[in-house]
Amino acid sequence: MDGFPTIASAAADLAARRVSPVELTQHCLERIGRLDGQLNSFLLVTGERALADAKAAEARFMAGTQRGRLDGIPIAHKDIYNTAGIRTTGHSRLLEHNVPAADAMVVRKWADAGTVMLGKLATHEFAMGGPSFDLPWPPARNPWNTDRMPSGSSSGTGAAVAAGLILGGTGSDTGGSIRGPAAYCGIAGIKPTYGLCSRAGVLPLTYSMDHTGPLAWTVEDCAILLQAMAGHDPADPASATRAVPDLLSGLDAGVAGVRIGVVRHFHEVDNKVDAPVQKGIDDAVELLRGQGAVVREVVLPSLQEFQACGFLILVAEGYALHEQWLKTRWREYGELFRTRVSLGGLISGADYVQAVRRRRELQAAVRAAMADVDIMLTAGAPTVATRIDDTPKWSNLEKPGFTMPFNVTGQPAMTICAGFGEGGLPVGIQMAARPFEDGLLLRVCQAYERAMPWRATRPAMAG
Amino acid sequence: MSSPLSQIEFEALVKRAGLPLSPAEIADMYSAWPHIERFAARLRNPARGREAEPAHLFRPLNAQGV
Repeated sequence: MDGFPTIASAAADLAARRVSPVELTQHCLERIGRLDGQLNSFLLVTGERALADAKAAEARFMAGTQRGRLDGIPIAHKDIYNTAGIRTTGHSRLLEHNVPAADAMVVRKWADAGTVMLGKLATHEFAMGGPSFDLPWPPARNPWNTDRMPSGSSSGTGAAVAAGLILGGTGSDTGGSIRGPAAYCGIAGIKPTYGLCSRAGVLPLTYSMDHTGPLAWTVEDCAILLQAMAGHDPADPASATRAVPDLLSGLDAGVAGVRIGVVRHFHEVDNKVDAPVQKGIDDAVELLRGQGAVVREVVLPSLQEFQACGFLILVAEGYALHEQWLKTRWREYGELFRTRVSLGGLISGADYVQAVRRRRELQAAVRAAMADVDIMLTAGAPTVATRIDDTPKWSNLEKPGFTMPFNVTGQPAMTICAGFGEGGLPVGIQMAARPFEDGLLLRVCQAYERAMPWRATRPAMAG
Repeated sequence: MSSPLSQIEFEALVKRAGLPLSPAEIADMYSAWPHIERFAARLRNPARGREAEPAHLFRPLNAQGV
């Protein structure tokens, strides 16, 4: 088979018997073998497991007992998701030989939906701190230009999806680790509402800001994947008990009457974006307004407020998680992770409590600002992908990112491709909705994506 | 950007945390410390009332653990 199937198109082809799960899996394995030497997106390819999954799916199709649109779809997991009997490393020397006994809940859910697991994907070490060159495996590279980084920490997922090695994959997002790779790799990635998807069995970076979620080439594919990920899990103390919403039936309902608030000060004042990103935002405003959305400006607390709050919570909780190993196995960590997260060991207990108090205020401020707005729109990242070998170590402290606000508030937020800038590299815009309005968020992103031509272009190296 | 904390005072924080940093790593983290101080100060400005609660959730568990 040729080309770049999406999950939706592959599901249709599988249902119509135009392709089999084994053929689709072999297509992906061939691409991984041919291209991933340039990308390093996989830490482990589980070819035998994938073909076994594919044959099982094929048997279900033959018997007419297929499980739904994800049956027979090749995916892979960020290597912080526990996979029973399969190495799960966190891209760290400390867990180089770690083989979990059980699947993470989300891994189990996707397996139950019939997915084909191709392997484990590169990440920044323990989902923070890359790109690093002092770990047992090299960092993933951006398929649009392999001298550039794919962002992180879900770096392998972003690269593998963009290059067409997998049809979708898992990511995690504590300060932007799904949405950053979505922006730099020109794909779609959603950080769902906090509590919508289980974190159980996923190596944690923090307790209160980690989110699990999917990345894929299209918004529709993300919706299909998220539908199969979401749901209450008693093993996750933050898991929401509400029923899983239907994320798919209203996906094509359009944006007529949807009220969109552009957070202009985020990307024009707090951290001024490059011209192609600004153009992507402006074009999105024009397009959505033309489709019937009501667009106006909305003012939130500054990005700097969210950065201060989110970063201190992140490093304090991250340090608490890693404290014992940091004290006893310091040199086994990569230099970037250990020095960044250890800032959390130097702040005071009062600093942390003040951050968590501020968090409640920021949540309230955003809630009030959204009283007459359904969706917020801003940048996904300020620039196109930066060089992989020239990332200033403390740059995340100098300029505030666009993604942290929605980790602080727990709202769903999605980054999608909004065109191309310098060197043909993609730029991303970000939208966010009220908590548990993930379906509306997907719907608006879908309306934008379907009206724009960006999904027709893949990285040149992906052939 | 400089810190009101001297490097020697910063090294005391590192020592108290029990982290085995090299001198180069201490210097590197010290260079980032002013950002952390800036963040911590921002969180306290404006000052909030005593009644302003943290965003933590806490629910007593029943006998079934829910």
